Amino acid sequence: MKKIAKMSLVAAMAISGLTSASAADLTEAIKGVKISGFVSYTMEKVNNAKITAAGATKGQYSSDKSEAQHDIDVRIQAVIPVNDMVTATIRLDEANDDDTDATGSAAVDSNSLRLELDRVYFTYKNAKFSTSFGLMQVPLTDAAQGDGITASYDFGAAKVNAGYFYTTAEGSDEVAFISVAGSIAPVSYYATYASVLDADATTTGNRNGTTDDNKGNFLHLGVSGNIEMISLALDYSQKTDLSTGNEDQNQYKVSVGADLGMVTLGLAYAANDKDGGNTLVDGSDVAASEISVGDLELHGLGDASAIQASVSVDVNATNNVKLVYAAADVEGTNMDQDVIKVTYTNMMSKNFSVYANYEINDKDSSDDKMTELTLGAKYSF
Amino acid sequence: MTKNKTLKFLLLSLLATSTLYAQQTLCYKENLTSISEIEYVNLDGGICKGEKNLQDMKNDSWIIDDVKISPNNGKYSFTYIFKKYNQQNVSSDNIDEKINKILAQRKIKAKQERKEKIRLAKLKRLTDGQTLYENKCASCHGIDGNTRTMHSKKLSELHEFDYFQKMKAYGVGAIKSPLAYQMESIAQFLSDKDITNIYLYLRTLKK
Repeated sequence: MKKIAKMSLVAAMAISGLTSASAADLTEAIKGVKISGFVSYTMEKVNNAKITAAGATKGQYSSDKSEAQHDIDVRIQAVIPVNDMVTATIRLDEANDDDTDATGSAAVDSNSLRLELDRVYFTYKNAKFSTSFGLMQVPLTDAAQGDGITASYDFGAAKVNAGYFYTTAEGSDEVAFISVAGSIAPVSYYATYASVLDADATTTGNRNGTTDDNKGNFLHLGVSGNIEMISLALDYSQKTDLSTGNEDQNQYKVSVGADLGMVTLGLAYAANDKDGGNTLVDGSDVAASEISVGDLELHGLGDASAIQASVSVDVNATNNVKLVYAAADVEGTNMDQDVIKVTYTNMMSKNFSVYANYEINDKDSSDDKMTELTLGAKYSF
Repeated sequence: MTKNKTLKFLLLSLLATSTLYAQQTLCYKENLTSISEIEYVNLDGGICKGEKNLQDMKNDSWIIDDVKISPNNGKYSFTYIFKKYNQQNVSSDNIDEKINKILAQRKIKAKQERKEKIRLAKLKRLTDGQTLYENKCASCHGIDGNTRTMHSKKLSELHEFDYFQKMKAYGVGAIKSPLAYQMESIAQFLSDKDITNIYLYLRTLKK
């Protein structure tokens, strides 16, 4: 009866309705359910300093002198214990995190907001082994969705993940992957290999400007280590493009960090090969080998390199200020650009933070500077 | 406070009972033709010595502790055990002293039991935390929590505030990093208690 009641909750949530469940059934059904998520609201104000009229096309950043928009994100996740070994995970998420609706227009009202089922999967797990089946995140993406099955096992010195997705949000592509991550003190490492077996011609995974499909093999490797307060990391990623006429993509990064307690320093250098550094399945900017700050995203630039320097100061237990500077150098073009970004975060309480960002973007190819101010608040539960 | 008073009352009763019957005697009467006859005949033996009946004994503050009735060929034999409280032997000071002593001993014992219970509970939480850490976290963060994965802070030195924030954020997929999906698949299945237990264990790893 208990199992049936919990399964009823799964079904009820899946169709976003609980009307048929009685109060007693509901009380029983939510016993042991872990509900978590967050609500965030961010105000964004962008200014292109030298553009004099709205609608002008002078700058590289935007056709508008200024634009203001919001970024609303709402996420609710329920992890439901179906029985001792199996859980069901359901996540509802506001899908338009990037301020735009499905047509690319600015999301300035509730019409463009869309709450969707972001994750729905069942997981069987014991101490070291787990396997999941359903709608999950595809590795080597910026949290893109995919339908498939994954399994992981913790061997102690290494954790191995593998899986197969029969379709993904990137189109009808099939993705198979295997990854290993672990450590041999004081060194940690990871390696992920993914293969997009079948490409949909309409997908736009490769951002090197020469193709619009993402059929390929992807390899990401990384090793990092630390001696006392100093840490060093090497990251390498590549995409071997399997489509005729498309170029392979490569990117690497060397980074060093210093943890001085209240102050954390970081310095990184990254470079693409001559055809670009787009090495993720969804063409996003979350690769470990990437430098991405403000409007600067290294992976989209061919034959380019970038440096990044950062300093983060914990003023006290609840206040942090972070300053980041990044600059990209693109060989043979006037596409060089740099970014300065300052972020202030105040953790007002364990479940509530407020934050402010200010960034200045400057491109050689543009005679204007784009500045962006964001102010936001985030509640987690 | 009420619980203490009740306990004191019970102890007082118990102690009083054991001292009230400090004297004891056995009297009997054999071959009575009816049961009701025992009410007025004098009893033999013990302090009765054929001079006192039941009522006399009661008047002298003797209490019947036990009685045995044995029928034999239409006749009845009675055996009585009487007990009497010797008030002079137990002063109220003595009782209070004894009660306080017992209460103090019980208090110490209860405190020790509570301490032991808390110690065992803490030990269990640490053991649970260690098991979870070794099964879920140690492969990347090091068995001693001191391996910095991709410039992350050492888990053994991570501030409590950061730790709980990050675990919550990873659990709902709110952190963007290449290995975040691995953390997500771990953090989302840990209960709040599990997360706290791991943190308690991490604190023991701090150098």
